[in-house]
Amino acid sequence: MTDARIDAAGPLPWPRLPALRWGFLLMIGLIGSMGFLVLYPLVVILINSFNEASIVHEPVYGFGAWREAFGAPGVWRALKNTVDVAVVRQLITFPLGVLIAWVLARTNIPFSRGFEFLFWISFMYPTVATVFGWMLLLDPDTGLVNSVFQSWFGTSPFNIYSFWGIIWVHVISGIDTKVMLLTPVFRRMDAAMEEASRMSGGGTFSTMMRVTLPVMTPALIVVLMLSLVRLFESFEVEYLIGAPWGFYVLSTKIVDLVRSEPPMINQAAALGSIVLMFLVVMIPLQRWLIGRRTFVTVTSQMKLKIIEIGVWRWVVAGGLMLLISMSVVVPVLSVAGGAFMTRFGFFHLPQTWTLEYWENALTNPGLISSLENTLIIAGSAALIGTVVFSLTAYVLVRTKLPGRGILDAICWLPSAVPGVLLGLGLLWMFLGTPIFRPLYGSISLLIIGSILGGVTLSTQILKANFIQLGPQLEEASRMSGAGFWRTYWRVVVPLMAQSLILTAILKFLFAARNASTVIFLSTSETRPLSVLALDQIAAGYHEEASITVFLIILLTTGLAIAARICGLNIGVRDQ
Amino acid sequence: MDNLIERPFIELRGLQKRFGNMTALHGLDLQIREGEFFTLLGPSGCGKTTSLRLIGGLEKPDGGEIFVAGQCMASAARRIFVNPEKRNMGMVFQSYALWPHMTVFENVAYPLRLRWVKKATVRQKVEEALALVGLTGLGDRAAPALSGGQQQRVALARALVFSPRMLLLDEPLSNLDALLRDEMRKELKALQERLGLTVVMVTHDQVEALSLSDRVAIMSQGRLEQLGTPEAVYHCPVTTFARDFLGKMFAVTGVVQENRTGRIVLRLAHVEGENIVVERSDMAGDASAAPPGTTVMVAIRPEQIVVADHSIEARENVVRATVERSHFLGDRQEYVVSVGAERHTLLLPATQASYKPGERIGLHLPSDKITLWNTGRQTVIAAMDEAIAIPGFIPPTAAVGGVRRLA
Repeated sequence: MTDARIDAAGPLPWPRLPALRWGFLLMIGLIGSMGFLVLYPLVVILINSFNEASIVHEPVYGFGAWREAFGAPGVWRALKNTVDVAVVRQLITFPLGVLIAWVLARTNIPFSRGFEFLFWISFMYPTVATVFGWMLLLDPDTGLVNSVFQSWFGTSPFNIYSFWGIIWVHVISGIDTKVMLLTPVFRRMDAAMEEASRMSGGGTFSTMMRVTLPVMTPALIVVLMLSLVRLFESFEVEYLIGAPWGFYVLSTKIVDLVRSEPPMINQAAALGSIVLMFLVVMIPLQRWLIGRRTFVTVTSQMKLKIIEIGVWRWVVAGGLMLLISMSVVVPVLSVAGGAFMTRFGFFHLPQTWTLEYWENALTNPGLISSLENTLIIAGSAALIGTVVFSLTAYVLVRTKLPGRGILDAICWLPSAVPGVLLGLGLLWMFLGTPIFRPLYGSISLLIIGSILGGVTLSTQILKANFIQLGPQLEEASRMSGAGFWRTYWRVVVPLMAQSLILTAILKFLFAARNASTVIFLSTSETRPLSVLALDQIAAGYHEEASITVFLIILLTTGLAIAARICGLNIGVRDQ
Repeated sequence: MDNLIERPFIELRGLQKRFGNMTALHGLDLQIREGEFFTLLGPSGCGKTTSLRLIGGLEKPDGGEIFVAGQCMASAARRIFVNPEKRNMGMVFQSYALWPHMTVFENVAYPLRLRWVKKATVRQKVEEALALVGLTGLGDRAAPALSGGQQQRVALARALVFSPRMLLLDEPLSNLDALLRDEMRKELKALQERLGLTVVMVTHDQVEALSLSDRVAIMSQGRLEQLGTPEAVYHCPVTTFARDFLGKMFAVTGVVQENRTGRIVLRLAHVEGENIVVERSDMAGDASAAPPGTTVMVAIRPEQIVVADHSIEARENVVRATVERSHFLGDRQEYVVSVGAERHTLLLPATQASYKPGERIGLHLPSDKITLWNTGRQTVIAAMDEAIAIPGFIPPTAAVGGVRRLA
């Protein structure tokens, strides 16, 4: 259960060999279970892309699925669409994110901490709520903004069901992640590097071009890589505002194939294999880039130089305010409007506001059971995930057991695998393996999927905290005569309580808003709110959907804000 | 003031700087000569780094003016501000601030390239600068791959390569380990003397300040406490801050018996011993302010005390003490002695005669090394050495030998 270092700490009666063997078993257990749940579904996808038989029959191997998948006319277009959307949105959000992060960290704009808080809220805000909020505003026929334009100018210029509609929602909902990752990077940069350039005779511009940007480049590349690896991740936006007019990306195409009649799961697996091959190249590249030493250096005497930008600061602050209201305020208001207004956008009706939809919804067994499902899934993911990942992180940081590198790599992988693909793999694994088949249809599948969704983030946060804690507090406990488990429960867990609660809340949030991983795994009995919302929006039940989305906002953003008020600073670090 | 250093190379007049509600500098006046090694010494937060950054142009003053070689660099009232890149000053930062994306050569070449120097000349000058700091042949290394001491030398080479008119050093030695620091300290001084550089250094380390500087300015809470040669500020502090910051003090209480120009006689209070006579040809006028009957603090640096056997002939300036404990420190012997009700620590070279606990000894306080302090108000009332000044005041003697006229 422990390593040689801890053994040496006291004259424990245990001989060395059994102690090592215990640790070994723990390691095998962790690598085995995590590896099985993370890697096996992906392997299953790859294998079954060459399977021509249906999921419950004996496999027949061949290239049929690949031929059919890539013979279908929409697939190549879906691939192209995926790349188009990713490229255009990075071209917009990346420079904008760099600029905003620089402004927040290094200039004297007013309320910079307030803006950071708002970007944090935006980050906690579920994507489905942003998409739906803007659908209510920019629908070409019923959208509020279009109606206003129609009554003023006689034309409705906006159409959310378009390429630029998709880009708009992506930019609005994706800029927050970049800002949250890049702001600390800019804040950490030693301003003396720029000052040294000024003292050497460099003006503001040449200092920017020859020192600031080159010094920042490695960190910027890391952030760009993080988004590039998630190229295929994007799901909700295209599912809701792309699919209605036949615009598919890879993830929505996979969903489309699986949900078609008859289901074309083998073809979906063939498509998914493309993503896997992409990941085989990208993940090592990403890890190599991130593992390299970044230039951004922290020195103890570092001082942050705030750059005066004069009157511009008010202009920039105004622009940020506008952006933030687009990404948070406007969608919240429009979702709330949808949930509380008799008809959304019709302010002149005799009875503008109503609770009728809420009364219907709260007596509707479908919504109530979905709410229960979400609470069960997210709650279990938070509990189980925190226990398992705290142990994993502890083993990674504190022990010298062999195999830590493998375990660490396994924990990294899920951050790069699109949720739809992981869901597909789990579906195959549970339907295709006879002993697991009875589990299909039960909520435990959705819990497993949700736990796996946040492996990387959870272990990274906990690892950072264990590193910060330092080993001596535990060694003192061992010297006092406590064993491994007693030390873990009496010393480590109490000291880590806040980080553990924080991890649990984060896991809850991500599980509650996640639809892509569980969309294949849920049935009408186990459907969580996130999937219900997608189904309702896609079916055009906008009032009911407003209430569902409103509940999701409460369970995610609401919970995050409540936790922050209680003093828990939930956020992301650059993983 | 202007007649003291006739044409100061750097001149700060009433310099003020605020950061939010915090005032970092309350109207600082300083004059620095050309070719001088000048140090701003003080604890953290005293405003010394702010002063250096103001000279370099990395901060804008909220009040006052900065002149370099007669040219106005910054003036709050006249709204003049010369950007740092136009001031032609070299600076070594505390964190060295080497650019990690450039090699050593490129780091050092950067100031030259910004000045459009020809390629061949750049190569030659960079190699000269690297040779100057003892880094010949390391030009191709990546800057972060060097050791702390080497990084420090690169930073120095980068600051010197374009022949700036002065060198600004911000705690240059604080990130080095003790041995390396001693070595760099000696090299830095040799380099400054060889090149005849004007250097302004900021440090909180009194050993660095005293050993390197031609003159030291002690600062506290945004104000100048004392200005003078290292010897002067050390032996004859003029403010209680300067006295306590620079080292230990041995102090006893005395009552003024007689006060004539250049000679004050005090009777020891509470302790056994002979009368104390302070006799200094350059006694400042303040001494006359302490009339007979005033109780004052008689202070001296412990190492100025001459220890003698108790049998020392009863003459002036001897304080009687008893050895309480003695500790062997290798090169020195530490004695804890009781003088009246108080205990003091004295360090003597191990070669001197040794004393045992319980032994009675006599402490001789040389009359020209004593400073007198008011016990209530914390102002100096006597004993001014040649180059000491109250803040902003430079005694005439300091100027006589020191002025170096500009050509």
